[in-house]
Amino acid sequence: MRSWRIIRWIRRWFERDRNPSEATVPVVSAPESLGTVERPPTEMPPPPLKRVSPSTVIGGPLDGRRAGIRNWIANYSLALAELYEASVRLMHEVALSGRVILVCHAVREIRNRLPEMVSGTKGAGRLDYTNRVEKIVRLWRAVGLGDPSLARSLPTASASGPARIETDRWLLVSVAKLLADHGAVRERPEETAARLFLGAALGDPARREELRPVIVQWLDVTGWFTKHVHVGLKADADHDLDELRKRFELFEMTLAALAQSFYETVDDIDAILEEANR
Amino acid sequence: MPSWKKPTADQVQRAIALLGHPERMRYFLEKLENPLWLEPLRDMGFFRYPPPPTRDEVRKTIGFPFWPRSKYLARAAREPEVQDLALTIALEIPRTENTRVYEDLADVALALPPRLAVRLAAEVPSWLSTGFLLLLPGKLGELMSHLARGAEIEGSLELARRVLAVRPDPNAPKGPPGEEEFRWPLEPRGLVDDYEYQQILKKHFSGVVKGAGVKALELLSSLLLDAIRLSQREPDRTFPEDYSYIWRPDIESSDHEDLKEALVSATRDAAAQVLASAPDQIHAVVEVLEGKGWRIFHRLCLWSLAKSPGHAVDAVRERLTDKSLFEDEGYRTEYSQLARAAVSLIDEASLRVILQWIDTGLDTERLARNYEAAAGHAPPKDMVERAAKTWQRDRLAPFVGALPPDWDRRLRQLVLDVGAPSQERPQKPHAEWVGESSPKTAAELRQMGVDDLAAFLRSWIPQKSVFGTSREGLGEQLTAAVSADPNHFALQAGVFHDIDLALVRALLYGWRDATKQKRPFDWREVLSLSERATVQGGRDPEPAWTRKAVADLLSAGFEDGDAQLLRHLREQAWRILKVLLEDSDPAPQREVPVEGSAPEPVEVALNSTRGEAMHAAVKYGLWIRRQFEADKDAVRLSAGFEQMPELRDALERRLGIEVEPSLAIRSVFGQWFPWLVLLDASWARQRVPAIFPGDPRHAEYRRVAWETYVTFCTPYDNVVSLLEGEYSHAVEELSGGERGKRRRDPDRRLADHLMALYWRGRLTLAPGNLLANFFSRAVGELRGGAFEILGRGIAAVDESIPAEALARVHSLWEWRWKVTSKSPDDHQDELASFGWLFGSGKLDPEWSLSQLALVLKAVGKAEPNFLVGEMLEKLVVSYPLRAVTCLSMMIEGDRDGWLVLAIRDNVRTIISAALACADAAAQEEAKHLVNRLGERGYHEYRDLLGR
Repeated sequence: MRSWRIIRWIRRWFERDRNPSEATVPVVSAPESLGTVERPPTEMPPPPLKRVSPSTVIGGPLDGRRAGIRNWIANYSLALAELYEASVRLMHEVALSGRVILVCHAVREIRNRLPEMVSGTKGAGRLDYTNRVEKIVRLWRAVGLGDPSLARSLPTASASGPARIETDRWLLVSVAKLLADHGAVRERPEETAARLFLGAALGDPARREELRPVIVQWLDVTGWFTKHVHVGLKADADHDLDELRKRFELFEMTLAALAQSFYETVDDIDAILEEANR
Repeated sequence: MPSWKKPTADQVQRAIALLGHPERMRYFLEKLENPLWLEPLRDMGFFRYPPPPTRDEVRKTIGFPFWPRSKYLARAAREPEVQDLALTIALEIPRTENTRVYEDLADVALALPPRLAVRLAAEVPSWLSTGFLLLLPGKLGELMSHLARGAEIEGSLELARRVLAVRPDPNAPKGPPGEEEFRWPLEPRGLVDDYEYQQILKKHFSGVVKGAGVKALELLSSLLLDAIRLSQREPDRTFPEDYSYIWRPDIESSDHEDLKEALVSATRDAAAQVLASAPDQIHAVVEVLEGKGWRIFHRLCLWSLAKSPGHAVDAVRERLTDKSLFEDEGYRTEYSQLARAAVSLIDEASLRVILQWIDTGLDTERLARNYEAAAGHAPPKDMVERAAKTWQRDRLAPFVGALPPDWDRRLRQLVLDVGAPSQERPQKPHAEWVGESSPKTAAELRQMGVDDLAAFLRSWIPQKSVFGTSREGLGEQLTAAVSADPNHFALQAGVFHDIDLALVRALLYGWRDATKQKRPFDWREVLSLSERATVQGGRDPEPAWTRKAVADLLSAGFEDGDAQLLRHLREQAWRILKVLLEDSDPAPQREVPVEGSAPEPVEVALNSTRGEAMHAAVKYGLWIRRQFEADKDAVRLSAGFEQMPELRDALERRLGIEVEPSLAIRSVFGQWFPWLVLLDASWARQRVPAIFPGDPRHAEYRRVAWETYVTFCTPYDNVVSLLEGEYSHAVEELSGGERGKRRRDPDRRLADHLMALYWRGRLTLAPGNLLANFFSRAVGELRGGAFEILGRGIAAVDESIPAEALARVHSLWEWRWKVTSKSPDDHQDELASFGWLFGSGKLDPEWSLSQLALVLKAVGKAEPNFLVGEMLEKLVVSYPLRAVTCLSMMIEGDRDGWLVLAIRDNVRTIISAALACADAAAQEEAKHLVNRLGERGYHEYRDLLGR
């Protein structure tokens, strides 16, 4: 929920200074109910688009290639496209205080959300831990296990085996079900990332292993941003800005390779090969 | 060689960031030459997950994808700086069932120095367990040689032992043989197939021998020993006899038929190679070979001693004076070879011993006993004498140059008596069959006077032996002679009336062939001879076959042509035919199913006397009708069977199932039905219920008549109008089940008929009518086949097609589209068959393109793709966007990946034209297509983007 508030803030900030006549894609204002809607309507998975719009220079740091990335993401999610654009501007154009955390948030959202949009398939979904745990807590208390000093009053293990404690069946079932659901919805990050690359390439899922090094690097690059969302609050100056720039560049390169046409990326590969084989 | 730079972490990360597509990954790894990228790529886990084989459970196929990473590893392994790392990586790659990966690992080993390669070679046993070895054996053969050349002898031999291991015959019968059961010789197999096995031995094993010397020979001998033992059903009982003098009479031969022989050659060559480089190793070679015990090894030993006799004089002398070797015919070739090679080394005493054996001579008593046992009588004396002389000559001849003068004179005399010894190499026993023999050629028979010929044929007796002259052999020549000059024999055909029936038949075949080749002759005597042959009763093969020959002759004689029967012979011809129409062949048992498979009635009719007579009867009617036409006699022409009542009566009789139960005869009615209509339309109309009986008890007769009609005849309008009920019935009988493959496919022909009738406007499109019923009952393949025939038909029309005919095609397709588009997955074959209409090029291009786009959107394919590709190429100039879009859809729909290969030139032309046109959308679509093709690995179109 907190992350959506930040997204809304970024949008508002972004729209404040924008001249509507320069906008190349319609800007959809975040609905007032954004804070309470689990999935905003603009983020419903659209039918996957196979074509990338021609790159358009829209000024500022969004040069042709970045515009291509933005437009490609917009094919799937306007909100994520805006997040990308905002992160680019924060990186290169707007010396806004706190921008490192904001950029980290934006990259994390793209990393987490883009795969399901691009592939058109959802992950296992989310688990409402809060409600489920609160329900168990109520049961827990109802069967008389809410006493903080409970541990002292319980029997201890003996030579004949572990101590056995009689409890309510429903309590046990609820705990067991929560643990099972936790296991079911916990998609490994590699699986999420694989959906991004295979979805973009309209690829055969059986070829996932071929892309593993790319997936590993993507997770490593974007993992840095995720980590910095969660560490204790740091001022911009306390972050390693060189690392930030390097990581953001690799993040953009990976997206560009997906966004642009096949042979545009092959041209980039040729450039690397020319250097490598020299 | 460039001096490679180690990549920076940044370079590697940037490269990997671009590789988020399998095809880009492949592209990068195929183009990467710098071996110093090996380490960072390994650190990124590039070599951890080899691709498994791809299995298609539906088609029961398996594929082995290439792995660009192992190919890069093999390239990088050539660089000395990274060879240790390359080996480490190769050893780290997890086991896989994908042989392609092991092929690359073999290349890695070949790129490494032998001291490193040998460590990888130790992994080969696990590589060989995949079951599908593809190109791996050849590479492993190369690796054996590579290791041996680098002094890794034990590694090389161990690898060879694994790869060339001999295994028992997988087809060996289990359990003891039954009585009189014939059992083929056992054929041991290699782990690799025979061809690869032989290639390894031929191409690579000399390298192993070069490095390993006698040890390599020992290995090959052991493998040959395994092969010999595994070829024997009871090796312990038969030892040391391996019958190699039969299956390998000539050690020098190189014509290998199986693994065992290939090993003999390889052992021979290894011994020769060892001795060529170190002749003093002869004792070691002898020890290795003779140690194996079996005959073939002793023969190889004698052969090897002959290569280097000077280094083992005692050994040579010992074997030449071994009486068991001298006497055993199974050693004769190699013994003689050794004697010739060692003639200058042999001492006087040894030679004396040998000459004494020769002087004793052949055991002629034993020879006579054996001969008598086989032939039943004693051998002629001169034959025995000649055999004895030949025996002595052949045993003396190798010692020429060392013989004492009196023996030398004796040998010369023997040569004068029985000729010089044969210089031919020993051959495997074999037999050939060259066909029947004749005492005279066709030319010789033609030169004889007819009376002389008849006399010769009457008196001639075929030889009794298997390969002697036979009646069949003489008959073939007689047929050829008559066919070449029919009138010469026809004018006096009567003189042949009392010759053997098989030879009469040969004469009749000659006149039949002459008739077909339009060589006229006088039929009168020929018909008389035929009539006499016809009335000879009996069901023994000769009279029955001769009656069939008469039917064949008449059938040919009624056909239009220079050699046809003349009209005044009508009565006599019919008299013969009438007898043949009552012939007992085909008997009912000829039409009984054998092992669940019923004979085709059409084929039985063609190969039986009564069946052929029925064909001849219809031709008889048409022969008479041609006479009326020639006379321009309209009255008789319109009178139909009134002018040939004998034919009508015969046909009526054959329609009675009580009289004529044969399905074969019924098939003739179906096959000739349109011509029966021509002869007498009224009769044919009335007899439709009889020819195609509706009574369920006679359903088989109806089926056979219909299937023969629809298969052999085209749909004539006047005939179809008589058979409307039969067409409806055939459509009702279509089943929606799977259709097996049939040599003649009446359902498919029904579709052809219906499409032809629809195209001509003879059939309309209306709910519930014949055409609608066909499409609702036929399976997809058949419905698709209907559009195929329509498309083929339109394409074949040279002149302009009437607008109404084209409109009918449009209507039919649009009607089917309405039905099929609701559930395209259930109508894939039919929808895809639109390609035939599209490919015809005769339909409105805009309509065609729009329909094609709909079809491709629905099922992703249009067949045949080559025709669609060609047509799109023609249309792209006028309709660039639509053509290139359709092509994109075809390529997107191609699951197997063969389409682009099938139409690669069309693809290039279409894309080029779209890129060159003024339509920006078409250009964009073409660029997109080039990129999509690139994603699928077809980079040959990249240049069209103009980069």
